[in-house]
Amino acid sequence: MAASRANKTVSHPFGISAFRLVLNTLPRFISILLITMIGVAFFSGLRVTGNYMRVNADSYLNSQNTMDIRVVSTYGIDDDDLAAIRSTSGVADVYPGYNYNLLVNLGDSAVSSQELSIDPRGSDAINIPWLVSGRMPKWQGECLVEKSFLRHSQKSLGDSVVFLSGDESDLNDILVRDSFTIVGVVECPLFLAEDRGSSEIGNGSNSYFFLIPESNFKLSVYTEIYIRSESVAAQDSRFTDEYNLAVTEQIYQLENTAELRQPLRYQAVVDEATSELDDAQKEVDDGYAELEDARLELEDARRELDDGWLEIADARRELDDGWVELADARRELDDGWAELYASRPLLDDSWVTLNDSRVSMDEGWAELALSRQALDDGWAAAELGWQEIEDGRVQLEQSGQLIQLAWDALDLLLQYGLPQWLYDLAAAPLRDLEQQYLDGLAEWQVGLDLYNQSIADLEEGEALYAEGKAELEGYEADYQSGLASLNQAEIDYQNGIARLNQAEIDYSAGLAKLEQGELDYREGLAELVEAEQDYAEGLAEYQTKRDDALIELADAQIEIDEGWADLRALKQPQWYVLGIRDNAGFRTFESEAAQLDALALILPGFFFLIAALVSMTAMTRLVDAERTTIATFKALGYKNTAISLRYLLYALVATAIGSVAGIALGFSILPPMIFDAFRTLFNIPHTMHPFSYEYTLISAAVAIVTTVLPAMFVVRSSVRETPSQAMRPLAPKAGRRIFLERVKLLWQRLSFLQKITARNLFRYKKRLLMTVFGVAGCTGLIFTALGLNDSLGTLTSKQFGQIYKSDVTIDFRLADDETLADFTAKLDNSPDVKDYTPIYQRSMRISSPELTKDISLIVVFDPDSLPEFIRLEARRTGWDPPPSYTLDDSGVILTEQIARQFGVDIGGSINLRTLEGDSATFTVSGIVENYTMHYCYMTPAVFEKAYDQTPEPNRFFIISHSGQGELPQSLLEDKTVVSVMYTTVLAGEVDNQLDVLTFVVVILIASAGILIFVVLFSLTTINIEERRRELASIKVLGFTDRELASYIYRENIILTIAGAIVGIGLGFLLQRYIITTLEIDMFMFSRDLLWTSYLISLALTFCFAVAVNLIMYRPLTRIDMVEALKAVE
Amino acid sequence: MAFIQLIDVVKEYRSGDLAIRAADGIDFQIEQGELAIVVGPSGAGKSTVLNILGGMDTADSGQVWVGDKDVATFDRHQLTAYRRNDVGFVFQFYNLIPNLTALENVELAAQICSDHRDAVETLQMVGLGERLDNFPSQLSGGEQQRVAIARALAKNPLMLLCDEPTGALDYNTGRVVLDLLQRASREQNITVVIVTHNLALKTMANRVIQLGNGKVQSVETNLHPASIETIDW
Repeated sequence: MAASRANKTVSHPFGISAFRLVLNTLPRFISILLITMIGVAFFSGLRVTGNYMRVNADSYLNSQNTMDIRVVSTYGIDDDDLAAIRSTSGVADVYPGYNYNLLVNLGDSAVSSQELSIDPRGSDAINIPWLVSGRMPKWQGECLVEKSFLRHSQKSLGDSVVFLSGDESDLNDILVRDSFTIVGVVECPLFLAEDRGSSEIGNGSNSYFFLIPESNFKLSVYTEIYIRSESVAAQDSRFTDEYNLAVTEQIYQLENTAELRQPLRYQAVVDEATSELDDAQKEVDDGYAELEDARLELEDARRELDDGWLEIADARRELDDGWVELADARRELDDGWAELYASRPLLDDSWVTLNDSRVSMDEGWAELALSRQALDDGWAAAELGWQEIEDGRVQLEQSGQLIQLAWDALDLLLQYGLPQWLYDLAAAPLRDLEQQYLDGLAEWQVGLDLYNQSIADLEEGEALYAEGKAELEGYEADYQSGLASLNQAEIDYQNGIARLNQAEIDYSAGLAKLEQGELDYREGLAELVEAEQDYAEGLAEYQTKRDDALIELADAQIEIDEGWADLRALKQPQWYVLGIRDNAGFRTFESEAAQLDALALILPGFFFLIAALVSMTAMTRLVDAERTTIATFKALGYKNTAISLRYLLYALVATAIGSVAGIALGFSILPPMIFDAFRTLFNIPHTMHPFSYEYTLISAAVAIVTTVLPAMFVVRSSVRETPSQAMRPLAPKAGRRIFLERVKLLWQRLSFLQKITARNLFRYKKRLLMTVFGVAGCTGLIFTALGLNDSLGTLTSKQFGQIYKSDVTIDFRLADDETLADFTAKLDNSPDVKDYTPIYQRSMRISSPELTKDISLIVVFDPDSLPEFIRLEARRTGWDPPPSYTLDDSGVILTEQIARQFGVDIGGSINLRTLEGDSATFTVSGIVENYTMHYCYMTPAVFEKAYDQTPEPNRFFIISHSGQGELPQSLLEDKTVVSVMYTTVLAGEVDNQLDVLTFVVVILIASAGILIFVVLFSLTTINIEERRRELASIKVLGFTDRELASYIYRENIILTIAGAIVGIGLGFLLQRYIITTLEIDMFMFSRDLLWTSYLISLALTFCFAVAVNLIMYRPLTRIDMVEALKAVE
Repeated sequence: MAFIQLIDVVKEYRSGDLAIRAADGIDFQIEQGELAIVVGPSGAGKSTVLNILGGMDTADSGQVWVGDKDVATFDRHQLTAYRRNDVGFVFQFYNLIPNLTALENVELAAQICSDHRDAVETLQMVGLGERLDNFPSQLSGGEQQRVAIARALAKNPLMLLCDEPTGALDYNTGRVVLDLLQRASREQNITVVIVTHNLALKTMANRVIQLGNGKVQSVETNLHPASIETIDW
């Protein structure tokens, strides 16, 4: 109400006057504005940077649909597990994927890398890769890589990349192919930071990740399950407590699922393994049986062969007999032929005799034939006679018969009534005929008698003939018998020939048969010899194979037994349900952002304090200078509020403009700049510039409050004065005795001017404090910067020169037929190698109930020579030389940072777990200085006792003569050498990482330096302005420029010295603070400060002070005495 | 030749487009040991003349002879040395160093002078022997002005230049101060120049220079200046 009325009364002249006020005091206005701007810029810029990083990370993680929770199991995840996870309450989406560590071939070396499957669901996928260039894989044989791989390997899109198995496992069991074509460069939300995870192969940690289509994986189980949770997905940011709470809740649900699945899965695996082992046992048993069969078969063959030899001996004997027989047959045959040929002449003689008898016989036969003829003719005539007799008889008989018949017929007819008359008529002829028949019968009798006579004659001739014939026939019979016997003899002869010929044939056949037999025999013999040879070979083969087979079978048996033992020892699977906070990249990012927050809390606060003090002083000065004007307005009747408003507006406008400019500047410059620096450590494509109302309001409010509020107090006290009081110039600050004057002894020793200076110093307490504070801030910040530089800059030289003294580290894997001695021989022969020591290094997890971290375990095989390679000493904290530790079987030695993180002291105990899950507890026997990574050193005996496993060397620390570790090419190309790391390269990488931090710190410090410079400048200006009158008076008294300047400078120099001393202390604290806040896991920053840092920061502070004073020299000496001393009118 | 002689001194102040001729050809002279009073209305150029004469300001043209030296030709260093050794200033508002005691204020001036008076003696002379260790804020206006005079006298200067020395003082205190100044001129033969607009003081001066509009209006010499006790205003 009052203000509005005031406004009405104010109207133009008052407004104009206010505007003129700004114009007249433009430098002051601008200086308030600038200081506010710088303060606000730093505060808002730095405060928002942490948030900026988080918002960008969130935006990135959300746009890539990054997983909230990851589930892994010591058994891998099978489909049943997966189904259980899917049905767990709260699970929104799941991607079961694969993840395997393989070596990637880099030409002359191979380093471990992580191969992950790509979720093929495109924009619905979990953990979508961010494509930087190229394209997503279309075919199975394509892959995505990260930028640094291309840079390091000199490869580009379209080239191929080859993977190797890093251990005994066969790559073919893991992937369907070993070579992939690079088609795209990506960033993966799972790898926000450079950490690619630890690895059980290579040097223990992965250098790159590769994304390959999931169809390439041949693993039988999923290695990881990525989960998006319903309740979690509703959260905007992953950096909030709400998110953590939601994740914790979801993890709890999943752990319940794990409790359920673990025993089931265990049983399934046990069952399967049991059946597999049974099968294997059966195979081994079969193997033994087969071996026995082979032995029996060979025995049979032996027996058969022996039989064969017997048989062939028989055949020989038979053949020999055959030959004897055949020779006998020959002899017999020859005898036969001789006999036969001898019988021939006798036979021929017989034939002659026989033929003679033939001739005489043939003559007899001719005579006989003639008598025969005569007889035959007689017989023929008789025949004819007989014929005639016979015919006559037949005719007679026939006529007799007919007559009879005719009689019979007549009698019959008479009987039946034939009249007699007719009968008599017919009987008369018939009696004639009967007469004739009787006459014929008498004549035929005479003819028969004559015939009988001729027959008798003939029969007599016949008897004579028969007698001759019989005689001849007797001869003939003899002849015939002679002929027959001769013919028989002839036949016998012929038969003999035939028989002999047959015998000849038989003989030939026998001969042929024997010859055949002879051939067969030879063949049989050859066959037998061959069979014998085969047998011998078979036997030899059997014997050798039997040995191999027996070994193999025994091995198999051992394996089976081991399998059983393993199975008995098999633990239940352990699921690990991990939130995104367990992701190394995310964790690192989060802690870096938190570190920035911490930095942003202290440094900008510091800035703000100073800025506020300066603007407060400026406002006080302004109001003081305006006393008369205020009084005039008051006298004119303006209300206090209206007058106050004039100055409050002044302050408000200046700070408002300053705040707006500061916010604009702060938001647009600092976060991207710092984030850019951090982007060399983090792979986050940054996409948005967040505008934070929160920080805008806070910083603007703080700026306004710190400027306007003091102005208000000053104005209030001024406007309360009566006009007459106010009209008079403000009495200069009264002089007062200072404490120092009471110390008479000291005070009297001071020169006059020194006394003046001393009193002046304490006269303006506000200025004293601000200057001391300002200078202290300046020195402190420079000191901090240099101190950080000491810490960060000396880190690598300490770590890689004084602590780790080797120049080269090589990882190796001995071939099957190679021994450690073979390999060390190669090292011995390498010209540049001066000394080396074998170690066994592997990644472990160190854990306490609250904390789990990765740690490198180094098993030292030669603890006595270790000091040549690794210095095991505590960090030097005082003037005494630090204690040095030697490794023995009594415990392990731990590096400092990890010991601090776990709060372990010497004598305390730690728990180390292998990546496979075996865990053991150790006593810490030493804590040593170390700056990068965490290490735990132990002896092989300690390791073996803890894990029941004999460590084998897998790495050599090498010290070279040249210090560069120039290993010969032959060694580099040696198959045994898996990878070679040069300490200089390693140190360079660490340096790169530290450079970013250094950069950020330097930005902060440089900005702080600028602000401090401005502050110093303002303070000095104000100082001069405030004491214008005093200075002019002195000048009028005839002080030379130099005396005048030294009058002021003496004060400044003392304040600067005081400030610098306070500043060193402040810087020391600040440096400690920043180092502990900035310290990243795996890097312990050196606590050392070099004396040069003290010197340089002091020198720089004095340079600043001198510069400011020099700049002020001219205005100081140009003070217009007339103007300054002008009576206030 | 007179001890102080100004010849055609011109001084122009510029403020933007506006040029004010504070001294427009001023000529006057003052003899050694005289007490001169420069009077005139506000803006007549009194203070300008005094400042130029005291080496606090320089003339644009003209000659300012003090003894045998033309101050107008001095450079900054010569001016500083001139102020240091030859000139004592007394201002209306004293311009003491607030952080120094009365004695220290005097010593501050004395110690840079080769031929200086003892500070304590000087203070005793101005009647402040009892208040040596008091800070200006602990002194009254007249006392402060007396310290200022002591400070000026301690330097053993050739002349005392006083700009309205009683301007901020009440009547009685003013008389004490003026008495001191007159005594300095009479007893120590110090040339004293007093700028004032109080015409009543004219009678105490050997010479009265009347200025107006940057010019000398008149110069009166007074062969028998009155003592302060006799003057009333």
